[in-house]
Amino acid sequence: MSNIVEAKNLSFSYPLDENERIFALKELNIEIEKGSFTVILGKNGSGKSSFAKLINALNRPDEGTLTVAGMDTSNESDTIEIRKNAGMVFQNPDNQLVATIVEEDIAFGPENLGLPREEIRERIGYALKVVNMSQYLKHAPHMLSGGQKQRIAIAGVLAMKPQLIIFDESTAMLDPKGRKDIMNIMHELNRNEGITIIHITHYMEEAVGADKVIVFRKGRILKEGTPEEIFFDKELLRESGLVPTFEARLINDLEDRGIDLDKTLDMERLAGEICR
Amino acid sequence: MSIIVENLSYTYMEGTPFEHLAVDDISLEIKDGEFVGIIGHTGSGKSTLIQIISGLLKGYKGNVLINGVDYSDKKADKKALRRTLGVVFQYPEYQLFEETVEKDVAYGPKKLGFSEEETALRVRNAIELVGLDYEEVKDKSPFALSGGQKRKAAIAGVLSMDPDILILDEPIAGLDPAGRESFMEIIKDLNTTGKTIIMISHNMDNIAEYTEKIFVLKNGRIFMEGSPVQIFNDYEKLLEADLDLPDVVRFCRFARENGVEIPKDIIRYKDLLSYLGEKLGRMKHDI
Repeated sequence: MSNIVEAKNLSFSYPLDENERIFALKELNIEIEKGSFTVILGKNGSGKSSFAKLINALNRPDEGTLTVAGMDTSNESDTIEIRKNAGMVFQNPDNQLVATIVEEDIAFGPENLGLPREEIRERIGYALKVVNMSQYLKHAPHMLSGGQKQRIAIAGVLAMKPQLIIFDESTAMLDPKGRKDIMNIMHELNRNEGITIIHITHYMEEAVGADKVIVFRKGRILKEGTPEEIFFDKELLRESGLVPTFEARLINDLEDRGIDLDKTLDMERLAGEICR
Repeated sequence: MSIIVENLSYTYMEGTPFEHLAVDDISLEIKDGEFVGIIGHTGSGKSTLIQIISGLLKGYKGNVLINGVDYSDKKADKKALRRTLGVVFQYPEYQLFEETVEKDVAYGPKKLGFSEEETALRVRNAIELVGLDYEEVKDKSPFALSGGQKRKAAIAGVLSMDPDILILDEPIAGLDPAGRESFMEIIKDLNTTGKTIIMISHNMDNIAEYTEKIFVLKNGRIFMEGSPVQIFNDYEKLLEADLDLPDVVRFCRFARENGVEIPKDIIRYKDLLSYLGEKLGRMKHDI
């Protein structure tokens, strides 16, 4: 498998004022495999959103390189091609929806690619079907619920047929049902459509089921591993200020009291463990 | 003294094809000093209910009495309602608007006509109550604060009016987990000092952890009412209201299916941890 995203000694800073800059990412090395599901965890200010914007070439590296689908993001002539390949879904769908009818909103991207009308219509149909919103073709986005709006935003990205989608805290503003919905769609996109997913969040429960979890802190990588390797690393949790899921928290806390249980992130299995 | 709601109904867009009965004949009582949770699926009528209780939505049928006063009465003193009852909406940090935190928090008491000294005192108290450092933040722009601090500053703006009753709509939405816990501890302390807290939340873990009484709404009606232990042990009915169970309760349910005995009154994380710690520790010891 090849890497779709590769960061080498990547650093990025924001201007604080005319003379000073504040660094957001420092000497990052990251490899993300094509077709994988990666979750980036970190508190506010850890640099995770800066990284997302670098992948999409909304920001450019100060130092080091970042390649996306084989293209160097520092190379301005590749910007459009990079954005075609790497779609982005933001936190608040209201900031991402541009038209007054769902159909037109999803058409916005493909129209700008200059695709023929038939192709655009086909892509709209495909995108809405994937996010399970086909019946809303002629609806007004602003009359939909938060979760539904987010699904339309995803459809708009899908219509560009990207290889990679970055979800930048796209679940943060939704109610529990909306969040579950969007998480399910992300996993379906990964499994059924073969799209590489990078999901940025501060909810650890959303990292369950990911191939790889990367924990950011103060612009650096604190640890990289499977969900289990991250959730049961008590030292890391303390240091990063992340709160694990109920299951991991209970296992970790019981371990502190001298009780060792099998390390599982599945509630039913954990409940079974207790009675043994 | 309390909140009394009698036979309350409210219809949106009455007389149009979009007519929708959002609150359907609700009666309830909330006593002084209680920590009450209101839960329900999106569209169950929670927000409409608290908007009416807060005096923000008119044209309802039925009665709402706040400490014995009906504020829909034209002769009622509306400022007294604002002194009695504070509302914190979802994402309250979007309501911050002043140049400095101090000015923002002072807006309410000034409007209520308190003297400058009294206002200054209230502002300092409110900022300290939410766990911010007064000297550090008072001259800062509220927009320069972090997400969690902004939320606290916005709530200080309500607390500066020193209301007896505090209504919170999804207070922890959007905060990171560490921020959630420190925030809820502040709300709990406010309750301990005697304030009545009414909290709307989708987060069942949060509701189970902090409230002492719960109203479950469904289709504009009160579907269930009781202590968290009663409500969260009535799984089937809760699922009928399209609501999840708190993690602790879901876990206990699985454990009981596996033949592990766990008392029904365990619905909070700390209680579960100390119960299991003792039980499993003893088992280990016996072996």
